[in-house]
Amino acid sequence: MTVGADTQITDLTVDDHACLTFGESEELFDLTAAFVRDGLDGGLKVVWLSDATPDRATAELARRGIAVAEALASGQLVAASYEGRLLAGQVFSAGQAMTWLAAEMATAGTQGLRLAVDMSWALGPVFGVEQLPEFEEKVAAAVTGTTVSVLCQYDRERFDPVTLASVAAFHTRSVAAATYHADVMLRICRQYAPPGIRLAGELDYQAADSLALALTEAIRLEGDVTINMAPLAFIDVSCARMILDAARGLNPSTPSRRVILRCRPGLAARFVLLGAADIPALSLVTVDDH
Amino acid sequence: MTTNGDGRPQSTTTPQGTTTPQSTTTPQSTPILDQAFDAGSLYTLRAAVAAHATQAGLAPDRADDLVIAVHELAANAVRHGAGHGRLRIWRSDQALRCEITDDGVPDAEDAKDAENAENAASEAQAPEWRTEPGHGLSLVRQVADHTSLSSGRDGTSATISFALAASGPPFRLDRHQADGCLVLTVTGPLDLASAAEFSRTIADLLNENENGSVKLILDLASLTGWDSVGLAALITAQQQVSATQGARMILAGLPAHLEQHLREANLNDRFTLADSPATAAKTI
Repeated sequence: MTVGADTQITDLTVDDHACLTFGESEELFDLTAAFVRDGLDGGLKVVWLSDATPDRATAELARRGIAVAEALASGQLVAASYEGRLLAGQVFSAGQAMTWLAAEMATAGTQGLRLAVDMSWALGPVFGVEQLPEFEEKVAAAVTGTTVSVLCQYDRERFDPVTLASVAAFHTRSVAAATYHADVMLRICRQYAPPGIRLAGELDYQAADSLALALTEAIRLEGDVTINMAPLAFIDVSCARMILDAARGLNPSTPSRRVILRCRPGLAARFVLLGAADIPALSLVTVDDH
Repeated sequence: MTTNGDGRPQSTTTPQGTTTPQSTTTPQSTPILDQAFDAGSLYTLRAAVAAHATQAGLAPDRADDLVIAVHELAANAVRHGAGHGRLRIWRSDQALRCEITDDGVPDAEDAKDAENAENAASEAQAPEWRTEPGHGLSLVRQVADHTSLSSGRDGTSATISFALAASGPPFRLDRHQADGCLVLTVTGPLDLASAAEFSRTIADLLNENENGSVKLILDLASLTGWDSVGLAALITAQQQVSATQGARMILAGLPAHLEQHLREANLNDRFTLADSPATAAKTI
């Protein structure tokens, strides 16, 4: 098995054992929400193990448009902690973890299973953590040729490159958010749930090319487009106008599509002053300052 | 002041045939900020403006307005002028005054070449979304209390001022019926802190009267000022009223300086204005 170039989260299929790397929790929640959404839509059982409390984990999914309540009630979705699954207290054993996984696969049966595992448990003081590569190797063997796919989620800022390299070989694909611009001032990346783009930092005309590319790709997808600017501190007029023009351009061809702008009140006001209120396909959603 | 296609003011000349942009705004005091900028330092410039404006007593939301105004003018100097320039900010008791200068030569041919080159470049990279630099200037006029531009052979100078918040009455909304109209009296500042309550009230009024025509008079005689969030709330309110069957809205008694600001910002066409609630009731 070889690790291919970065794949989009939405391209994952059955029997994938994918390695997802993320840079911040927003990105983890976004990519996980897309993985969960597509799994639920496909009728699969979906399990997410993370160090977030189950309530927090499901709230983050709900915030991104997943119909969490029904899926939890029917048992199609499970958000759980590591305890009793991957860990027993502070002890990890590849054998024990595989026993749990085998049982989950058996329970899901022909329904199929999507399992996402936030691997941040391996950053803690855990006895047996050296069995991580062995675990990954066994997972790879276990899911091959089945209707099960596993998404291992690694924080690229916190895991050292040696560990990431040692586990990479056991994955069929590597997954990351499509990123159009990333430096200390600005990050422009694809958002997967709800679909669109996410802008963080300060955006001015000097990054207009990256914004244009991100908008073009987002518009090319079907359905509503969310421009998530909640983490954006500044946007200048040329970039704001580019976003408004994108929304304006949507209207004639497919009237039912909308562009949703999520931003702080100050930025929302800027969009209004630039004519946002006159664009039928555009919705402004104001978010509170963090 | 008229502007040419790229958002820069057209050259104006004195009877002597020369202009000195700085001469119109020569300050007596020492600036609280004096900073040179170019394309690579716009971020630093914005950070410095935000820090100094807040330190000087401008409310954080007004500081955001100042930052975008300075950025747009500085970006114009970088993109369409000399490629670099200088920002100075002075503080008086009532206001912050900012002057952005570039020593570029706004020669008509050069400006055209620069514009053409830029359009060609942006078309090559992003054909779908063409940006119009002129809109930067119109936003500056909307967010700044006063904007003036002068341009000549020695370069371009833009001066904007932002009033520091004077002590005044706190924000309050009162409503009553008069002459078959609903009069909503707005007292104090319409800004980041109060705009949400204002917008909610307007939305409620329109919902309550869903089946009948609403004749809404905004009595703004005691309105002390607005920031871009407050101004946007007024625009949005007008938009919602216009979209509601049979609903109408008149702004009454708008203080002279705010009415002048609406005119300078080219926003007066969006609203129907009246001297007082009484005259508004007759015309609505």
